[in-house]
Amino acid sequence: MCAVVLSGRGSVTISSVLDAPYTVGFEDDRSITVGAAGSVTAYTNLEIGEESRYFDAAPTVTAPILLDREDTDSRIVGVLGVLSLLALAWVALLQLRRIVRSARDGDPFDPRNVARFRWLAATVLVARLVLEAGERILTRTLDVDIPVEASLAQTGWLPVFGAALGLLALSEIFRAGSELRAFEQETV
Amino acid sequence: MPIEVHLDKLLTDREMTLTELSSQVGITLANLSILKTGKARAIRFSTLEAICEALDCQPADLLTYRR
Repeated sequence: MCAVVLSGRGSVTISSVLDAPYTVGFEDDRSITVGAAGSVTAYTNLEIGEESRYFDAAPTVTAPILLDREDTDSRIVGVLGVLSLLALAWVALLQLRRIVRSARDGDPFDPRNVARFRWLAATVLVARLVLEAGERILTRTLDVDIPVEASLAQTGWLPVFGAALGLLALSEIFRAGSELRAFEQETV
Repeated sequence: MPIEVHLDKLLTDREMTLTELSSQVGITLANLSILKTGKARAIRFSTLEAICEALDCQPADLLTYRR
């Protein structure tokens, strides 16, 4: 899922991860300092061995960032990213609709469904690629006071590849099915 | 395809039309046309049996294999 949010008029929010070094402060005086290497360098007012063991690994700080109106580059990237994802979602829905319609018409092994499943697989991959590119570009263009990395992709590459491979496997099944269908149609 | 279908010759010899054969054997005209023009990829035994019965012939009269 995409973590770019368009809200209201002209407001763009993106998800981001804070770059080390940083300090995470709690409501009381306790705090954890994470060094440039990404590991905890200091615990303040935390009982070592008790509370601190919950933070053996440095806490990752994620937060939505509202893009400044002046940050035109990032806003353009955000809007283009959302538009690209919407276009991809539209393509995917269109293909799915056609597949479902052919199945409803009693002809699921229509040879055109093979290409439609391949389109779906490509759409899944391209959507993940758009998110990846968006992350990298936004990380460079973001104009905020603290160093952050844009974090748009909520799903790693592995499940995306898995989904794409699954769709390609399905397309092969439909290809075999459509060949059988053609054979059956040409049998007198 | 090296298999040749002689349906048109058999029909001519018996002065029968494809439409008449279609109504006799209960196979659609479209399917018989596919068979007649040699575009069929396979033929069911039931179809072969029905055609042979209607045309009073043997399967070998209908189909020949040419190398």
